[in-house]
Parts: sequence; C-alpha cells; structure tokens
Amino acid sequence: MRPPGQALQPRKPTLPVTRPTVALALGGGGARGLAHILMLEVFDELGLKPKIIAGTSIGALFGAAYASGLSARLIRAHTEEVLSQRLGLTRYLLSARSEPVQRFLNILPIRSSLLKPELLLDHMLPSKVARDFAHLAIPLKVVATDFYAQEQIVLDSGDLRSAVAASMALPALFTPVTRDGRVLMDGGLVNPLPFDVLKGDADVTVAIDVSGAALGPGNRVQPTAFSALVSSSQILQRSIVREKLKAQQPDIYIDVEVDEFHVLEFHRFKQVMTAAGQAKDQLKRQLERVLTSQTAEMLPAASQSSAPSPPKKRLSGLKRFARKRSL
Amino acid sequence: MTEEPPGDKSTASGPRIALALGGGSARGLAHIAMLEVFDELGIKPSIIAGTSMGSICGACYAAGLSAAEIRAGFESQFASRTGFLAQFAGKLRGSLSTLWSVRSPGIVDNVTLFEMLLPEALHSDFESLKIPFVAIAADFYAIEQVVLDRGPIIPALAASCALPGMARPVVLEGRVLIDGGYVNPVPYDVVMDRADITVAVDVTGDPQRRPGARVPGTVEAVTGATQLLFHSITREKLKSIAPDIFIRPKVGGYSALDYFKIGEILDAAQGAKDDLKRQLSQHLEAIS
Repeated sequence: MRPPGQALQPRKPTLPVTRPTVALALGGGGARGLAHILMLEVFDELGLKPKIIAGTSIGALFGAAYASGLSARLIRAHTEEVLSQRLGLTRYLLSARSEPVQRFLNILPIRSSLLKPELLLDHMLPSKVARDFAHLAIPLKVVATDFYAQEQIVLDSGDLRSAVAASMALPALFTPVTRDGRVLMDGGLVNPLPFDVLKGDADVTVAIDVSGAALGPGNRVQPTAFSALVSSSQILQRSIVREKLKAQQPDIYIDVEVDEFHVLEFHRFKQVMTAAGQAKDQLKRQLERVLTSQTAEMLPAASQSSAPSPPKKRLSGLKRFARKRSL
Repeated sequence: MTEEPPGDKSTASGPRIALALGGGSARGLAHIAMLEVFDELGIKPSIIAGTSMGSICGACYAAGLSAAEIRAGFESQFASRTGFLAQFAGKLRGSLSTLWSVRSPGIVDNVTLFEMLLPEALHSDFESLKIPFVAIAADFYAIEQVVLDRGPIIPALAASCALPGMARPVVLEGRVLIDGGYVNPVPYDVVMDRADITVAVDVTGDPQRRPGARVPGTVEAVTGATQLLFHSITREKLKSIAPDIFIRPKVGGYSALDYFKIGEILDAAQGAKDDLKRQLSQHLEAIS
C-alpha cells in the first residue's frame, strides 16, 4: 500500500485548487470492460486527471494504460487496432469460440496449454505502458486474488505487467500468476468493483461497473450448457457487487449497461463502444456537477442531488431485489 | 413467484428460529448434523431457507422427516456406487436421454434425477410442508434472486441445484433458473425478518493446496475460483447484515461429488454440530 501522502500530482489542475480530487475504480467484466475506454475519455475531455486509479481484471489493464500517462484516444486506437486484426492472436485468444473454453467444457482431457496472461498483455497493452508501478504518472492499485489464502491482494508496487496479468488471470483461460510466492488469479473473484480499496484516497470516488446487467426478455432463449457455464462466473461477480453496494456506495456509480455482450466478445469492439455511449454521458454530467461545486465539503449533498436517472434505476433494482428477499 | 409469505405453520411456542442452509453439493450433507441439533433440543425452526444442497436437506426436514431419517435415506442411497446406479434401473421413464443429453454427456436433467432419488414426502407441493420452506434459485437472464415457495417442490429443488456445467437450467414460469448459490449461497437474509433467532450454515468449499503442488491444475483452479466467488458474495453480505448464529462446518476440503463419503463428512461436521447446539441453547436461554 502506498502511503497516502505520496500520491503523485502529474499535471497542473486546470480548475481552481479547491477543486475536489477524484479516485477512479474500474471494474472487471471481460469484453464489457472495453467500455472503460469511454470513461477515460470523459476524464480527458474534462481535463481532469484522477488522483489515483484502482482496477480489477480488464479494469486493471486499461487502468494501467491510463495511469502510464497515455491518452484515452491513444488507448482506444491501440485497442481497436489489436482487436480488429484479422486472424490476430488476440482475437483468437479471446474469441468466445476459442478452443480452451470449449475443451474445458467438454471435460475432455484438459489441455496443458492454457495461456499465459502475460502473453496477452504484451499484445493488448500499448508499448508505452510503464514497466513498474514506480514509473506511473498516476498511482495505481491493481486487485488480484490470492488463490490459496482466499483473499484479496492489492498490488501497488514492483513489476506492473505481472500485476495486471494476475488481475486478469481468469481460470480455465489463463494460467495463474505466481508473484512473491503467492498464486494469484483474477481479482474479480473477490472484488469485481474495487472502489473500496480507494477509501480515503480522494474527495470523490467514482466506480465504473461493467459486471453485466439483465438481458432483455427478447434475448432470453434457453442457454446452452456452454453459455450457462461461461456466463455463470459473471452472475457471481454481479452478485458480489450487489451485496457490496448494500454495505457501502461510491460517490458516483456508473452501471455500464452493455448487457447484450458476452464476456468474451472482444471482437465486438464497436458495438460495445456504441452501447456504452449513454454511460459515458452520465459520467460526464455527474463529474461536471461535482467539479463545479465550490468546495469538497459540499460534495456529498451535491453528488447525491445531482444523480440523474442511472442511480435511480439502480436503486429501483435494489429495491426490487430487497422486496424479493424479504418475502 | 413470491409476494405473499407462507403462513407460520409452526406450532412451537417460544422464540421463532429461522434456519438457512447453504449450497455446497456433497459438503451439504453436513446440514444433516445441524438438523440433528434441532431434534436433540426438541425444537423446530419456524421457517427454513435452502440453497442448492441446502434446499434438499431443508425440504426433507420441512416435510417432517427427522434428521435420523434423512441421514438413513442418504446413507442407503450412497452406501455403494453400484447400489446407487442400480436404483436407476427400472425407474427411468422414457429413454436414458431424458436424464442425459447426448450432445453434452456431462449435463444432467435435475428434475428427472430428483424425481427418481428424492423421498416420497417431497413429491408434493410447498403448501403441504409442515414447516414453511423456501428454496433459492438464480434467474439466469435477470441476474437476480428468485425465492421459490409455492407449487411442486421437486422442480423448485431441481432449479436451486442446477449448477451450470453439471445440470441443465430449469425453466419455471418462463424464467430460466440456475443454482441459487450464484446469487445467494447462504440465504439467511431471506428469512431473517421472520424470526427471533437466525441460524446460517455455510458449507461452501475452500480451495485446497495439494501437497507439493505450487500452482493449481485447471480443474482445481476453476473449482476453487467458483468457491472463492461464493465466499465473496457471503463476505460482502455479512458486511451489511449478519445472522445471530453463523456456522461453518469444517468440510471445506471435500469435493462437490464426495457423496459417497457421507460418514466422513458427518464426522467432520461434529465440531460444528456441538458449536451450534451450544450457541442455540445460549440464545434460547437468553430469550426465555
């Protein structure tokens, strides 16, 4: 853990110094996490740099790129290029129809050639991404799971690539990452939306949730055993987020509604970007409102009253859930 | 599927006890030891909630079977592997493909399976149960909890136990349902407000380090990851709401399919059983 006073302030703020600081949490959720790029665009468009970023899984990947000082535009261009390469390695690796998952499902002799997540990262991360946490322009906390200790590990120093690889190491697709003697896996197993690890780090905490959403009735066909299995870990992560939000909430919560996308549908980059456009507008509106408030002290009230439709929608969802729970 | 709570049919006077039995496949056999506590203390829960394996044990108890009867039933079923398979002969209506689909041989149809295996007392409706009982399932597409508390019992239990990758999802009232553990592995919060004392039993497994192994194999990693996800839901839930008594029998090391180790599992649950008995007695004394 980085001592609180050590936070870097890489660029001069463009608004008055009384402007509140923002901590940004980017959640895990596979291909839906491509939407994080749009959220980072909001920060660029507002000329606002997060004081600190936390990321889980795909959120750690884009968090690392942005914390390295790359612009959202550059990250978007790079990601689009990588994902659109015909017969590209990444596409092959991440395609929903890729071999490892299929073979796993059939419980046929399970292959030894699970992918090393580092290999994927070499492909996905722009070359300018920092090698070490110490070289980042914005402090970063990467969330991973210690498999045998069954607990969350927050990585914020040392080698960056292995940390992000660990955070993304979804079992059945990737090999676990061994770091400092610990066997590490996807951070989404313990914390798919890591806003709580940013507690006290900044005036305002923003959480981007890409853990999924309900499917519209039109799309509800009986799932194949394959899609049931692939989707099931997403349902679990969604359940973790739901329980977590009952005990604590970030100041700004954005539920990216890109529900119709399969967790492994990385090739549908453009569609995810389009679907997440609304969430981008929501984030921008809410951040603008928070930033125009004069002092940080006024924030809680301001951010609450400013909350337009999305939090309301979430609340109604929770209420519905609570009603069911209470019989 | 649930707007109205089922009426309290329990006639027991004294504090009302809610019992929540969690999911954990074979590890859930430990629930039987917890039910023995109630029989030994001569008390009945006023409501039971069950997820997955917890729903089977809970439904049996709610139907009026004693813990000893439930134990005997499971023991005879899992006495030997050949005996277990032999009982399928003659019971299966239609072809074998009603139970296993040809396309995905690993996937079982729970409704068919349960109709063959579960005791006669459960071939009935929720309304006939002696103790109010709810089973927890997950709506696959809505990604939300469904509390099943009416209609035929067996399809509800089949849905609550429809573990993806093992069993086919169950369609009830137009909803595609899977194992309740995916939204609520230890469903105490569903029944807390209907009792004075809430008891939760968590039999989620734990990833086990094999001696000498430095990195888990694929099956181990996938199984362990799912268990971690279940634990994470419960841990987060405990931050906002906690039961009066939370019991975690030491059965985390048994695998999901260790049904034939029923004796061992119940032995391993002995410590938790004593613990539950002590805590429950204390709570009852404190209240009365």
